[in-house]
Amino acid sequence: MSPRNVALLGAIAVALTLSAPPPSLSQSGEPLSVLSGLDRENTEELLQAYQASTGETFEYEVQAGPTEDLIAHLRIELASGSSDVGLLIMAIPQLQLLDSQFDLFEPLESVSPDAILDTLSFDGIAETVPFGLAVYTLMYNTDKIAEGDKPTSFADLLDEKFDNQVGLASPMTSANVWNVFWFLTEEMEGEPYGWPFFEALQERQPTYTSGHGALRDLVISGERGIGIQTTDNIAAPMDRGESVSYSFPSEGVPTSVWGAGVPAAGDNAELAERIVAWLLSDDGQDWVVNGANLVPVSAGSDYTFKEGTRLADLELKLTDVDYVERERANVIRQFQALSR
Amino acid sequence: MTDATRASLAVPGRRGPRKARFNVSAVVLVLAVAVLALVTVVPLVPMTLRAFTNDGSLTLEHVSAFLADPHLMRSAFNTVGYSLAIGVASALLAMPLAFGIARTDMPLKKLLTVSALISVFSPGFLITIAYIDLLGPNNGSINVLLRGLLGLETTFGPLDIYSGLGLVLLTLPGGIALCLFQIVPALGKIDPGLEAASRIAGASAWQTVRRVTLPLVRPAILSGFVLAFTLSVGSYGIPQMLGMNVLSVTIRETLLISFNLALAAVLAAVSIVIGLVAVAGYQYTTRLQSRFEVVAGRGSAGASYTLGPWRYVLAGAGVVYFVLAILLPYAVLIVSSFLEATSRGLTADNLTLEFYTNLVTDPYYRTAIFNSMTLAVGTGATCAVVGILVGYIIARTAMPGRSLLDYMAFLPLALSGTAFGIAVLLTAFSSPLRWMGLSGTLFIIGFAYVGHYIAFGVRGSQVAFSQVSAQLSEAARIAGANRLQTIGHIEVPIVRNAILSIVFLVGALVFPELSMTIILTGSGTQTVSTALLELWRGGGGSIQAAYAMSSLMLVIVLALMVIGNLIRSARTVR
Repeated sequence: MSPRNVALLGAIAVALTLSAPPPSLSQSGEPLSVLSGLDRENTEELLQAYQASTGETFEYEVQAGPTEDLIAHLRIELASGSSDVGLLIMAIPQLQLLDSQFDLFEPLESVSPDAILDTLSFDGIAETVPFGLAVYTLMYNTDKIAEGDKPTSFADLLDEKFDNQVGLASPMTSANVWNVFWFLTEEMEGEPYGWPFFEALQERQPTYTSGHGALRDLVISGERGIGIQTTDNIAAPMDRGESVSYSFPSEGVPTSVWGAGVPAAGDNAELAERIVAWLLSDDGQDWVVNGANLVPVSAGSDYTFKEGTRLADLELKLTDVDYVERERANVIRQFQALSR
Repeated sequence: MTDATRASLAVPGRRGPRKARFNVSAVVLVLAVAVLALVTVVPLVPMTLRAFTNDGSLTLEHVSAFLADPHLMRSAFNTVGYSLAIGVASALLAMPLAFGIARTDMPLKKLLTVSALISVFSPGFLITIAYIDLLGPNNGSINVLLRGLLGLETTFGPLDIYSGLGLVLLTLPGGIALCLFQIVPALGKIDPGLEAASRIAGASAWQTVRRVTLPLVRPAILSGFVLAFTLSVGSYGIPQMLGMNVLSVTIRETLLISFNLALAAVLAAVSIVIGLVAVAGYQYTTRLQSRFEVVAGRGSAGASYTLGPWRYVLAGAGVVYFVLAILLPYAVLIVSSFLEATSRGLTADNLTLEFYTNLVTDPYYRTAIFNSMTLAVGTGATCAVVGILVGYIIARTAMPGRSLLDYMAFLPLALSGTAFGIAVLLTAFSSPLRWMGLSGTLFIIGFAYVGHYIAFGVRGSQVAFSQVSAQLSEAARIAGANRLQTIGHIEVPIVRNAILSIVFLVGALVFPELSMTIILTGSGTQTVSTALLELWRGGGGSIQAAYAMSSLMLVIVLALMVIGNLIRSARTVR
C-alpha cells in the first residue's frame, strides 16, 4: 500500500468517524429516551407492547446496559445539568439513590399503590414505581447436584459437601447481590448468620463472579454446582433445556425489586408516566412475566414459579434501601477482608 | 546525529523569502502535538485534580486513604507483578517467533501472524469464559480428561484457571502479539550489510544474531515490553472474570459501586505512574539513538537465515501459540454457538442456528458491526497519522521537551478503560465542551480510543524512525524539501510497514474494547463489544448468542484478510 493510499484510507476513516449520528442532546424533545438496566431487546419489547396495547405510537431511543455503568454515565450528565432521559428502568434501590442525590423524579400521580403487593406498597404518591421482582434462589446444576442433595437453605451452603461448588456475584462488581448481603448480615440473626456466615462460606472456597450472567454460565457448565441466583437469570436457560433447576432458601427470599421513575426534567414526562402506569396493568404485568422474565407485582396475581412454588407461599425479603447507602463502605471493606 | 545537527535542522539556517513564508510544516507538527495533548492530558486533568484536592484545597487525604488500605495496596503490588510477568514473558517469547517470521525459512509464518492479530481482537471476557469451560478446576474439559488419564481421585484440578498462572496464560497471547507487531517490522528493516560484515569477520550465524541483529532491534523489543506491560496494567476483562485483585478492577469498584471518585483518582494516578516508570526505563535504555540506526543511504533487503531442523522447532512454538490462543478457545466458542443448551452437549437434536439467525435479522447488530469497523479504521488511521508526526518530532527535531511527548502518549494507556471513559465523559460534559453535545456519539468514543491507544502510534513510529538514519532526511532537506515533503517522500515510505502495523494493531485493539465503550456509548452507537455484552448479560441473554457473534466476527475478519491478500497478490502479478 502506497503512502498516498494510506493517507486516503486515513481521510476516509476520519470522515466516517466525523459523520457519526447527531448527538442525542440535539434531539431534545423528540423521541422518548429510555435508560434501562434490563436487556435492550426486553426494553424495546416493553415499549412495543405498550404501543400495541394502547394504540399510541411514538419514537424512542433505548440505552441499555449494566446498571452500574448506566448510573455512572447518568450521574455525570445530571451533575452537568445535561440529561434528557425521559424514563429510567432499574432496581428500586438505585433509582431511590439517584433521587436522593439529584431530586430526580416526578411524583407519579396516576399510579395507585392499591395495584401492587402489600409488601411493596407505598404511602401517598410514588416517585419510583415497582413493576417486577427478581427473586433470589439457590440455582443448581442437576447433573452435578442430585435431587436429594440440593440445598434448600443458605445454611446448607456451609456444608463440606459443597466445597468448591458455590458461586455468587461479588458485591464489588454487582449492585444487585447487595440484597443477599443485606439479608444474611443484617436481617438474619443468630448463628450461622451475620458476617460469620460469609467467613464460614469462605472455607467452602466459593467463587465470586463479576455478575449474575457469569454466575449463570458457571452453573450451567457445571464448573460450579450451585449459584445464589435470581429467577430472571434461570428462566431462559430452563426453557432451552439446560440441566439446571432451583430451590428457594427456607430462611426467606432476598428480592430485588425492579422499578421505573420519570425524571422531572426529562422529555415526554406525560408519556413516560403513562407507560409506568401501564406496567401495573394486566397487559403490563403480562410483559413483566413473559418479556422480562420477572415476577409480577400486581396484588391480584396468583403467580407460580416454573418449579411449582406459588409466589404467595414465599417470604419475600426486600432490601432496606438506607442500608445500601449507609453500609456501602463497610460491606466492601468486610468483603475485601474476607477474600484476603 | 548530534544535538547540534538536530538543532540546525530544527532552526533552518536559510534566510530571505522562505523565512517570511507561512510554515505549513511547523503548523502541522504543532497541531499533532495539540491533538496528542487534547486526547491524553486534557481528559486526565479533572480526574487527577480530584486525587489531590478536597473542596478546592490541596490535600493528601485521599492518598493517605489509599496507603492505609491493605486491599488497595495489594491490588497495586499485584498489578505490578502481573504486568511485569506479562511484559517480560511476552518480549522473551516473541523474540524468537518474530525472528522466525522476519528472517528465517520457518514454516507456518502466516498462521502465526494471523493468530497474533486474532488474539488481539478477541474479546477478553469471552475467551476467559471459553477457557473456564476448558480449564475450570471442577468441570473443565481438559481437567476432566487429565484426571481420567492420570487416574486422579480428586474432583478438583489438577489445573486451575482461577489462579495467577491462569491470568498470565490468558493475557500472554495478546502480549506476545503486541511484541511481534513491534519486532517483526524492525527486523525486516535491518541493513543486511551489517550482518554480512559480521559473518565476513568470522562470526557464526548464531553469534551474528546475538551480537548484531538482536542489539539492533533492542528498541523494538523494549517497546513491545513497555506496551505489553502498560496495557496489562490497564487490562480489565480477564482479571475481572477471574476475580483477581488488580488496580483496574478496584478502580471500577471504587468508581461504580463505592462512588468514591477521589479515591478512584488516586488509584488511576498510581496506574499512570506505574506505566510511566516503564516508559522512563525505555527512554533510559535507548537514549543513544544512533546505536540503533540500521537503514542508512543504502538499499536494504532482509537476509533470510536457513535454520535447518531448527525451523521445525520455531514452527512448533508457533503452532503451540495458535493452539492456546486461537484453536482451543475458538473451538469452544464455535461449537457452543450451535448448541441450544450447552449442558446437553453436541448431539443432533441439540443443534440450532437460532443464535445466528437473530444476529443476521436484527439491524441492531449490523449497526454494531458497522460502528466497530468505522471506529477501528478511524482510530487506527488517526493513531498512525498523529503518531508518525509526533514520533518525527521526538526522533528528528530538537524541540525542547520533546521526550515529554512520549510520556504524554503513555498517560492513558495504563489506565483501565472505565477510568479513562469516565475521565473523557467528565471532559465532554465540562464547559465549554458541553454545548457540543458529544455525549453518546461515535466521535466521543473514537476520541477516547485515540487517547487510550495513541501510545501505539507514537511508540511504533519512534521505533521505526530510530532505525532510519537522519542522513536521508537531511539530504532531502538540503535538496530543498520542507519537513512535510521529507516526511511524506522519505521517512514514511521507509517506515511504511511500521505504519501499516500501527493501523492494524490499533484497529484490532479497538475492536473488542468494552469498559470504555460501555460508559461512553449512546443510543445508535453500539459497538460489537457492547452488542456482545447485550447478548450475554441479563435474563434473556445467553453465552451461545455472544459466542455466535464472536464467531461471526472471526469469519468477517478472516474474510477481510483473504480479500486483502488477494488484492495484494493481484497487484504483485501486475
